[in-house]
Amino acid sequence: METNSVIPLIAVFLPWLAVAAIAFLPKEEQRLKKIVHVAVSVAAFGLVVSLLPRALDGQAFNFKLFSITDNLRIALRVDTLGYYFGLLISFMWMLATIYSLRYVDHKEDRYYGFLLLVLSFSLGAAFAENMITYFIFYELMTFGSYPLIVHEETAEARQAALKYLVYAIFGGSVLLFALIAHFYWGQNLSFNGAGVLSAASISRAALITIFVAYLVGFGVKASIMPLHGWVPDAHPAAPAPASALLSGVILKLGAFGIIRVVFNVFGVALFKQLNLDLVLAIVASVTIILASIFALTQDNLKRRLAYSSIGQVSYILLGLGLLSQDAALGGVMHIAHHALMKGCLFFCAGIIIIETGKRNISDMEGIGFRLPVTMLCFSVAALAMMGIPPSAGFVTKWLLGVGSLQAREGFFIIVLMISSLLNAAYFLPIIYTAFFKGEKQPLGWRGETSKAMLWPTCVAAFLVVFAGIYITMPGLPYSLVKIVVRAFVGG
Amino acid sequence: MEPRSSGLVVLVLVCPLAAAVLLQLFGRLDRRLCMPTALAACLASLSLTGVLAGNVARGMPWVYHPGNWGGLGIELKMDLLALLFCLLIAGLASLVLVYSYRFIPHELAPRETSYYTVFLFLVSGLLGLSIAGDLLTFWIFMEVMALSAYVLIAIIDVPHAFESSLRYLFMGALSSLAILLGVVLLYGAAGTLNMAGVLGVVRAGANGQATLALALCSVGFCVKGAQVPVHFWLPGAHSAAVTPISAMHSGLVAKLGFYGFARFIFFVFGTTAAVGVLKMTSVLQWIGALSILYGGIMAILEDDLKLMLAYSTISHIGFMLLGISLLSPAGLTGALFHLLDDGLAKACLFLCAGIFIYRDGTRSIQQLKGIALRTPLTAAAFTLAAFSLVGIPPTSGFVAKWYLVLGTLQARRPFFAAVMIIGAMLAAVYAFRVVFYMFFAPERSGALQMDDVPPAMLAPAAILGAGTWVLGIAAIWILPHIQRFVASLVS
Amino acid sequence: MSQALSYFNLTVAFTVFIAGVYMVATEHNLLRKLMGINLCGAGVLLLAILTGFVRRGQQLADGTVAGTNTVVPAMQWLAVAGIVAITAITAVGLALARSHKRVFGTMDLDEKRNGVKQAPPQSTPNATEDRR
Repeated sequence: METNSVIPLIAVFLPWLAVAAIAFLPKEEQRLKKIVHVAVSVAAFGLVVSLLPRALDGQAFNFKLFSITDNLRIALRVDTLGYYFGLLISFMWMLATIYSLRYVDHKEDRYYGFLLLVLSFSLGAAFAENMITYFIFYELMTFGSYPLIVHEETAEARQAALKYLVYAIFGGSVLLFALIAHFYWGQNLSFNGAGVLSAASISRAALITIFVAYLVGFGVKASIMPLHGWVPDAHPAAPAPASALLSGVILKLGAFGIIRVVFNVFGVALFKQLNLDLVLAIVASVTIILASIFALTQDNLKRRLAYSSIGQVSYILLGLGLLSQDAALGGVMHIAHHALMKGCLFFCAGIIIIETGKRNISDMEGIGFRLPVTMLCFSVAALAMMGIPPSAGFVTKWLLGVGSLQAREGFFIIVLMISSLLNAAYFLPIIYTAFFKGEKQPLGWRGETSKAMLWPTCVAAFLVVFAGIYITMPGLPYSLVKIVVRAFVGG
Repeated sequence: MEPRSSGLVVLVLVCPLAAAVLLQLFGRLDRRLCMPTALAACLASLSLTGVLAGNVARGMPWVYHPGNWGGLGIELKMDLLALLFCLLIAGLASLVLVYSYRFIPHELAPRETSYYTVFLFLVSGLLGLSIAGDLLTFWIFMEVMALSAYVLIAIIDVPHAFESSLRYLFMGALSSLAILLGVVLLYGAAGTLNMAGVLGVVRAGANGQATLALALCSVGFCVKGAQVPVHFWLPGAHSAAVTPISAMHSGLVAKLGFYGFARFIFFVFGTTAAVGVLKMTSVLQWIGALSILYGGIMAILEDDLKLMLAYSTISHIGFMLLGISLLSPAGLTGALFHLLDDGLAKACLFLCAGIFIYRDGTRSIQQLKGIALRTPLTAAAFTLAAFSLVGIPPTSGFVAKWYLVLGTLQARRPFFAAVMIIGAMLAAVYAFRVVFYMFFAPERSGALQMDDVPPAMLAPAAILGAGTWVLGIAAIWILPHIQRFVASLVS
Repeated sequence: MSQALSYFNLTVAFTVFIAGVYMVATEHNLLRKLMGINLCGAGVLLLAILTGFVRRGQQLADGTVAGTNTVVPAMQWLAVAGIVAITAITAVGLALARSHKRVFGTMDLDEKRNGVKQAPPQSTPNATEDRR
């Protein structure tokens, strides 16, 4: 079902209001500006939610902006997959914007301006109708997030941001090549349909070239090893809400691009026929294991979380590589589940930094008494990451495991198990240090930290559990991803 | 469709010529009259071109046969290519003139009248060679342009400028004479000077003379476009000149050497002849590729901002040469569009560099650190243009790069696609390096303040910077015309 | 016959042209370089005039046969334009060379580089007024 709707367009460009507010309101009106920022992010979320009932029916919303030639156009089309991702983006952004109110205390105009611009670009990417629209928003998002990473302006932040940029430009260039090769051989960049390339008219070598170029191009963002180098530097350097968004959304934009390539560009049948699924699954498995091992050795909390993200994003790719019904379901759902878990973890790390100034795990002895609610949320999210039921993390790991059996590739269950063990090995010590090491103190329930930071953290932690219990509730990932997987993978 | 005759065509280039004469007569009375007179002339040309635009866009070129030369084939012809460049030339010249109003008294007060006079000659030369319909008119106006260019570089009266101007003069004169020799040979082969007439004869069956002529013209135009290995005159000439002149040189003069090449390849020799007889295109492709890489690497190594931009010009003309010598429709479209967008971007960057020179007296990139705090608008304009230089969507540079890379695939030369992508990465390094120094360098101090440079200098830079983005969007309307035009050439 | 003649013309013109290019490339003195450009120009003009000359009985471009020995107007026009342009280039070049001499004390690039003469006199802001 296709309907024309202007709502996606409004949602994409609404955040520009905040930029206008920064530009036109006088300098003294910081309070009013902040109200505008939060209102804008809430309104964007509201707009996306307003489409939910129709999206659950499997409707797609079209809005064509303009066309250059018949098969080269800039257009928005919110299909179920795009809607699912857009919903996640706008939700995470709402939390992060509220969280930022207390966290960010200098250069606020620049910070919020780019924060909301990146929201606009990310939504645009999620709602893109075709690859070129996706690419344009994706690149804008890439450059727009540079000021977020460099925000602290310490030497190490600058270094990290530079590294990010070098990787991003490399990835962007390869991606451009992929895109042009795709356009040249395929003549159709649209996401509208299950596979626009066909083996009949395009040589095998060309198809593989296109896929490898896409994999490398998006792989920089999706932090596939060995293209992950910027991730562990950028996360600790960025402010906590920005880190949460980096892990939760921006890394996923890379993974989302690969999902689009598999589902919409190649189509599942062709993808399997070329044996590319196995390539993707192996690359993802290597990344999962290696990233978890690297995470063990990190003492800086945010750095450890960053390595964890590298591994977790590859879960999504593993799901795509296995490509059985449940594996795909698990992989695509992991986008949202991981975003919630990792968002929550980064929010907690931010509170720790603000309230105690501690960044290293070895310094965090007994911190659970000083920040009980925060560390409780942290523990919930960390346990979910390990895959302890009932939690969002458990759901996706279960689906991936079942999926790998469905795909008759049981080997990957071992990967999942090792990874879970390693997850436990690097998350449990943190919880242990926080609650059981050091002197016991009275719990500091009151005045733990400001509400603007605590609430988003709690909401995220709550949803991590909630999504693990009421899995099939409409609006939660399963309800939407089910439609996507049924359309593309079958079953 | 039948071309229509109109005297307006000749008026386009008479306006600046007449104004130049007027300036010499009356400009000495009051120096303040110079700029408005020159500006009025350029705006008159611009609006005349605008009047002619409608028909040209519908596919009907305007022609004018000056005098009654009968069989000589002397002709002025305003086709789509000429129209686009006349608009670019007249528009850019007007902006540079506005910029000069405050800049020139600052740099070369006693020679203002001469400056504006020669400037107008330069503009009329550029306009004339754009609308020339025969070889000799083309050559004569190219000389008018070149002579004014030599003079304008030396007008600043510093030792370095004389050296650079002399070197430019020797190279320029030799290349002009080589082209003239080619023209004579073509006349010998075809018996007419009219481009369309020559094309007809050469297409029918190219002979040795035409081959030789193409070789001579190629060499000549490679010198004019500063391609490796005959590039060495350009960096000195572009960086020694007064900044508005650097902008004109880099944005227009160097490009118009290349524009001439496009004219010759497609209007005089016809692609078929060029391909069939010569096999020369592969040499040109390699020259273009080498220039892309050489210019990019040298620009990265350079600390002088204007020299860096000059090397970048070499690199970008390399893109055009490569695009055109691929002889594929998309490559040609990209090359022609790149001519427009790089003209805007380079002019903007040079004007910004001029503002830094005017304000701080520095040309060193190292000393631009943190300048965004003191001249935020200039830095912003620079950044906008830098994005286009690199080819980030949705700037016009991206559109050009898209078609150029597509052209390499159409011509089945994926290797050159890689060269172009690497060239774009190099551009990212040298352009963003400056942007980071301006915005994010650690050596920042003091509060943000608005640019304290005259608005007459700021506005042109800002307009051009924004123009690179607007052109990226406007490409939707411009590209179909270019494509139709290219299709008529290549078929 | 005409084919052989045309090759002869080409050879002569190219020899002169290349000699000019060689001169520009190898000479150190600016005036000699400018002369090289003039020599180049002479080669081009020579070919233009030779191309423009049509003997009695040869075919003209428009297909008619020349009744008498004629010259083609197009090439005359081209030659005139070429002469004007070369003169202009030379004039600008000479002016630049003079400024070069004023600033560096020599017109010889080799001397300037090796510093045979004593240190060049600096150009002063006052010396910039050089209108004639």
